[in-house]
Amino acid sequence: MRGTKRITMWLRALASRRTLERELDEEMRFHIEMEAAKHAKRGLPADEARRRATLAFGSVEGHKESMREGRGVRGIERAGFDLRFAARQLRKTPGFTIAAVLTLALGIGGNAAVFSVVNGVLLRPLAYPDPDRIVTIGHHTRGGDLPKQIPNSSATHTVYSEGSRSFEAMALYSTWQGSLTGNDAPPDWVDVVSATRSLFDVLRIPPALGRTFSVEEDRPGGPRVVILSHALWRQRFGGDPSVIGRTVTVDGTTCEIIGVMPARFAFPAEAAQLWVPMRIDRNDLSGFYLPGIGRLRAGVTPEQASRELTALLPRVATLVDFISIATLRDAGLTTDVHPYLDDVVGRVRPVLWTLWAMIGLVLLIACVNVASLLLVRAEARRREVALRIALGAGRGHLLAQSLAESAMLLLSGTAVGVLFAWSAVALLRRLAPSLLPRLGDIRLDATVLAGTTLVAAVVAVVCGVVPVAHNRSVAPSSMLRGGDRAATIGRRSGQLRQLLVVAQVTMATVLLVGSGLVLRSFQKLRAVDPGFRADGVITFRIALPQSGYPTSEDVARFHYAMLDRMRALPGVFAAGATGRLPLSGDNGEADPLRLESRAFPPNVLPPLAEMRVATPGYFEAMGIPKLAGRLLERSDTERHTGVVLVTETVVRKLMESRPAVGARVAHGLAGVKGEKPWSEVVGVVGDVRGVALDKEPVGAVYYAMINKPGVDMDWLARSMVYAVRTSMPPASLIAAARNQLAQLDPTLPLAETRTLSSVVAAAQSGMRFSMIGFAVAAVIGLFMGAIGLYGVLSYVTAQRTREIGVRMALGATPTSVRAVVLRRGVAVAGIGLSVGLALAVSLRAVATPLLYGITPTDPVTLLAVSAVLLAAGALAAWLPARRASKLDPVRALRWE
Amino acid sequence: MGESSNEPLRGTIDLLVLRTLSLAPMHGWGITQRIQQVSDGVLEVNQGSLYPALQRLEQKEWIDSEWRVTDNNRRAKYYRLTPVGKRALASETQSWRRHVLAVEQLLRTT
Repeated sequence: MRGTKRITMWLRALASRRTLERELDEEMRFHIEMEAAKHAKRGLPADEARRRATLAFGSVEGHKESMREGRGVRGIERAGFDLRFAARQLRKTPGFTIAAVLTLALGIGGNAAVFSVVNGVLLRPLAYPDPDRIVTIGHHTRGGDLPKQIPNSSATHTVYSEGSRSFEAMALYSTWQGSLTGNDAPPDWVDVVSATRSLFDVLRIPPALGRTFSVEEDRPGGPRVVILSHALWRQRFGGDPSVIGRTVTVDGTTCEIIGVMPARFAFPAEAAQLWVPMRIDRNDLSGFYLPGIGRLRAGVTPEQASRELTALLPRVATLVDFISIATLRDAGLTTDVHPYLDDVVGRVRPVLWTLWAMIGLVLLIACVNVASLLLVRAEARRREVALRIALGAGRGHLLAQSLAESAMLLLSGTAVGVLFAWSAVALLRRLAPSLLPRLGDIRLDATVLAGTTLVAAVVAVVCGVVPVAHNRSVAPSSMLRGGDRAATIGRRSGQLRQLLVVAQVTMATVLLVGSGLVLRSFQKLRAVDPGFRADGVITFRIALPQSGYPTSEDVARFHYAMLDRMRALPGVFAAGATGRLPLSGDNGEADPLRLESRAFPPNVLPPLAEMRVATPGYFEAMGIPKLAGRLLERSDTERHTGVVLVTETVVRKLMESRPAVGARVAHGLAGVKGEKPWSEVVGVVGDVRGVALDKEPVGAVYYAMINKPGVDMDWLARSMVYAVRTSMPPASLIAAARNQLAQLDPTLPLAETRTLSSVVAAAQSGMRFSMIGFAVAAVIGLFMGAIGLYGVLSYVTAQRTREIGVRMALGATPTSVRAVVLRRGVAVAGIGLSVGLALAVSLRAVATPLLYGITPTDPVTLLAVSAVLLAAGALAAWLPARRASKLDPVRALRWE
Repeated sequence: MGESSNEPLRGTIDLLVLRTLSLAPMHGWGITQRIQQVSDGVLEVNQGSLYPALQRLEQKEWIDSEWRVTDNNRRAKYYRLTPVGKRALASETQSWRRHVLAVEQLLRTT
């Protein structure tokens, strides 16, 4: 009760300060008047009565002040005054205010934007229950000509899930694109995920409608079922809940719809549209190409799980005949269990951390800039401060006022910065779907805003305290006598400011080196020859369902017919097709390749080579060079001769000095399942970078669509990517292709239409993202550093006007004056540059994973950065230098 | 100002004000006059301590205030004892008396 009353009074004191003041005034006036009336009654003249009453009352203002203190809201009222005072001061100097606010906005906004990316992608847990127990299961090899990491075989999965105790559940999955037909809707091309039924036990997300796979459905020969993604359900079925129990046709097979997943479920990627059971057949176990995922039991670490599974590996040899213990040992195979999050974000993790560090540097530079701007103001206010100290202002109050000013700047800077960040994040989400994983998790949320506020608060204190600390030494007496005209004063502050600028240049150097290195890497990456010529090539995919095209001959006949139609179009120079387009995200599976004339010991794996299928015309359309022999011809398919092409790398690794054309090669290990009969090499073609631009090609064997019995390629040929080299604009060629396809088979969709150049650009996009991010940080950093340098030099020059005047009066030429100022600027930049270069070189371990084709101490980058920084330093010094040299000595000597 | 030896002891002003207001609601000037009168001019309350004391008492809710018109038609702020204030006055008076007695005893025995 008492407490509430006090709070209401306190609030009233804040809210109705004016009323209270008026009442106070009235009460005191009343008192004095009554007192005067008393005196008057005793016969004193009115004037005298009044004088006495007033004297007796004492200092009205003094009493009022103690009453105000008594209200207990003095601190808040004073803060209000201080803020208003600060706002007035800032309005009076719009140039300074805008510069400071923009600087802070860039620093804080940049940080908020990058932090929302870091937070969304790296820090926020995945949207599954207990996500830190979800792990990826894969395998390490000894490396060499084997890939260092390989996924799972259904054989290892079988052994693990029967023998392991570390996991609550483990699952295999694979993705492909298939056709979706039926339901009176046009044929569609969808991302299909095939997964073991345990996938839903691993991820623990229940379906929104219906159920997940049963044990029967995940067995070979079980009923065919499918689970739809939320998006596909909305799109194709209008969100109809009665869809459960109806059927769809996936790749020509009729499946019953048993469930619909919730909208947030996006496994393994946003693109996934439907899930079908994997139906692993124990009598037909596969090689190492299936990604695996598992949920660890509580308390089990990935390392423990890795050890347990590795110990189980030899059992695989008892399960299947194509993996022997000797092979396992030769390959140095071990099981690798690591957090699934690492796979999702592993690619961008170093980029994002580095980018964050860089944008942190930008913020530091911004802080230093604002602090030195405030310092310059503080310098200019020394007289005012001295006067106020002489009049009795407390140091504490001066500190409060200085803090109020930086708080105002910060508040506006943060507001503008958050606006920047918000638009940057919106832009990023629109532009970068392929650049970043977990794009949906990136947003400017409470965590980001809280982090930003914290950063801003620290910045405010740093920026506000510096000028006060600086003016702490102000001695009112000497200051008011005009001591600040002496040339020596402010020397310490001059040094402080120069130190700040050196720090800025140092940080700008680190930023420039970082972005320079990434820029050079991007250049190198762009200069990489992918092995084909991308310009002028348009690609699209056509997939043939089993139902309409049951045999390999049907498949081949269709593709030849479609290619003939494409070649007949005006403006088409060449057309061909392949199973997997290079750089398009399909990881080419590589299998061991044997050479008939070279025997391998039983425990040694032959080199790996990708298995590809190509039609005649493909190499011409892609611009892949023929190096020896001949290319594939249509007659090869028709005569069933079983001929192949190999790439240069295969020749080097497998054939060594033996003649390539005429040699006989075969995929698969001798005497085990999956072994292919010998095929004759008729030609050698150039290598293509298939997986990524920065990965050396593995080597490939190109098969014709139909080779000969036992070398059946129709599983690859069923879904073919067409490459058409043309002078036609992409849109009209695609329209023409669609038209031709409709004439051949109106039920087939034309999918994945894109230019080959865009495929290459997408393969460069990761590097492009880091390049743009780093470049933006570096340009802002350089710009702010230059402005800081300019500000300090201008100020120092202005301070030294008298000195310069004296020098000029004594005969210094404008050129020599200019040289003095310029030298100083370049010296400051030079010191910062040297420290920055040393720092950048010491950070090379951080940079290495982000680079391609250059070392972190790339001399070209370091030289270019030095040149840019010194030029920026000279430019920043040029204007003050010019101003100094144009001084009129007479006026300069009078200058205050 | 305030150098007068007639200034009441520190801490007693609250008691004086409460006692004065227990007779009738009154404005600030009236309180000073009343105290002066009753004490035959021995106690003179300084305005610099009166008004803060009134503010303090009001915050404690021992008194409250309202604007009223005086007999000669002027607006003035009148202070009035609250029930809480009445109880407080009683206990303050008690403790004052104990205090005075103790001081008296001390003066007599030494």
